[in-house]
Amino acid sequence: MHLLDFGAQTDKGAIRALNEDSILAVPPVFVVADGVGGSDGGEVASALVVEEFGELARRPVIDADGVREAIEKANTRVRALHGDQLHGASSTAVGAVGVMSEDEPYWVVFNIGDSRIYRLPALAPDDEPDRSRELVQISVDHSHVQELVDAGVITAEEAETHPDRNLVTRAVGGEETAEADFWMIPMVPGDRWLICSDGLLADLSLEAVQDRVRQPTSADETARDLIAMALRAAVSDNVSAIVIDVVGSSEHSDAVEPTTVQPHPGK
Amino acid sequence: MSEPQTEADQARAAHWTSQWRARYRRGDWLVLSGPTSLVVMQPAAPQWSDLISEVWEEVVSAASIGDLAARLAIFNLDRMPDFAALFWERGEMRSLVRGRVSLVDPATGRPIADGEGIRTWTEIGLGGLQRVEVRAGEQSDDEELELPLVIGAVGASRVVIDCSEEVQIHSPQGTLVGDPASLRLLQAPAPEPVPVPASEPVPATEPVPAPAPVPAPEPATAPQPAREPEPEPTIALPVPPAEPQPSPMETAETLHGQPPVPPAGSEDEVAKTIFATNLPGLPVAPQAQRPVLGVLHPSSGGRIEIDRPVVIGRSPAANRVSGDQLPRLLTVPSPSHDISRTHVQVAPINDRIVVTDLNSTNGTVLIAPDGRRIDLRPGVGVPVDAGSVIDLGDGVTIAVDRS
Repeated sequence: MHLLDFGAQTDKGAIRALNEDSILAVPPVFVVADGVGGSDGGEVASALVVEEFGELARRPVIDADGVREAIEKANTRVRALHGDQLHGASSTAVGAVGVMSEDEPYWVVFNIGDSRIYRLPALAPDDEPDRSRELVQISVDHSHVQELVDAGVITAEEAETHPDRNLVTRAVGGEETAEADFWMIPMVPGDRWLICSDGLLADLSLEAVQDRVRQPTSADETARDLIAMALRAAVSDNVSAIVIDVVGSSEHSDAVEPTTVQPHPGK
Repeated sequence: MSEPQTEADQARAAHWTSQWRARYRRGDWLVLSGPTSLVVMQPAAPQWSDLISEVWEEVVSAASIGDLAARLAIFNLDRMPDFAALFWERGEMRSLVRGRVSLVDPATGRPIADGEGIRTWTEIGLGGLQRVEVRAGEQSDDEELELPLVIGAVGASRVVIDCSEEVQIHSPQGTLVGDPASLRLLQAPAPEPVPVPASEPVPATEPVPAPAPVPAPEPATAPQPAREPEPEPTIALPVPPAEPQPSPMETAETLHGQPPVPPAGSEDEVAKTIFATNLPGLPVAPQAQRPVLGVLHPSSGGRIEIDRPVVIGRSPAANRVSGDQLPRLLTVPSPSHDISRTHVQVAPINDRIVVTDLNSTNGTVLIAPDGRRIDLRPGVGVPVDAGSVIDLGDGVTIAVDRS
């Protein structure tokens, strides 16, 4: 397992009375959960998600099954919150958990909802040294507008301002079983990861976020600055960001090649 | 059927062609039909002819509705918004329906299953129903020519499927299509499996011939209305669009080149969150017991159990899978990069060990227990037996052994 450096920040934003986002950064477990459901306790739902992942972080062995189980347990608990209500509170959940798979370190990346995780891959050994690193979206939004984009009805640009852009189609606590998406991606030294709630990109362009994340400042400073940028843009939603740097480990050879995982063509 | 096989029975088995008879009305929707399987898909543009042909081969090779869904998932058809599949299995018809395809009882006109508003794939056992009508897209009430269909692909708007005993087609021209061993599983419940002669299957994919696991004989003689739980959830089925489109779709490049007609129906209240309807659909299998179907012994060392998909390559990754399909990832050395990062998958699917080349650059060779070398077609899963060896090139081989 490689050494991880990180920064994690959340803010209720300029308008909202309450922060319904919950975040967790206890290496190797990193999660952002955005509560959904208006007056119905979205902040409780997201807190339950983070609690379950906190439990996972305490386990002696953390594996992909554990990540899946944490989501399932959170789902059960959030559903228990609203009993027979048809549309009680729920929460998105997105994150990355470091695990070992057959002696190799991996990220188990998961997403349910419309929060996001991005990867800024390390430059490959044969890349131009001054080539800009690109922020690649890994997660696929579970949102109504994403489905419209996938069906070719609207473009990704139109999705950004679409009136239904807040409609989430999957969330923790939404169904009897939580259908999260999973990725398993080799953990590569030099990679930087960004996990954020949708508030971060509501008022900042992806280019602005990418430019800031590329800067060689520490993960902690980068996360703080991203939140500050969002607040300066008068973000109306809650906003959260976790930035993780995979630092090289002396136990592993430096000849680890960067990998490519099919990025989502969303933006 | 406890008497010994009569000659007539044997003759029928030898030339068994179809478990049902179908009549269709011409239309734009694609209907791919096999002896016990039928798939309805959105209209397709001419450039998809080859792809449709490949899909059809999968449709006629599937051994169960679960297998069919898994094979179609390889083509990403599990993401198609409008879709239906019917399968004759263990004495009854099973169905998967989604979007603008509905199933109707032709005798009463009563809807059995309507994909409209169904966001997940719902598997519906049709119980003792012997006749079912599949309606796709817009229906007209005009009188239309109706044509028979057994095996093939047609453009249709409506298909009526009849599996009553008396209409089963037995043709001396019949050939067995697909894996002859798995066809044994498709017979109506009987105390003993009906012996099926090993005639040459029409070449679809080239499965490594192997004895299929024979299921325990069903005690009842009537088709079972209750569904048995699947041994493990092997199908990853994402949730399709959550609501009807509020405005007609633009003529964007959809996969099949034709703009789908927006479904009728009023707009729902715009709620902050919208969730898929929870229908009594695919049962959620308990995760606790994962049967280990075999063990992999890579030439590079190690021992990996096959109790879930195993993805192998020089730097393998899993790309957007569901929680029950989280793979084991096996890294193998390939200094010359002949082996792709994500090269091949070995997965337990419906009690078989299935090997699939994941569109690797240099391909995968399967060495059958008898020594035959088979080039795997990219993306097409091939069931294998213990004693097979997977050759990834660059000196890396992986033995598939019993657990």
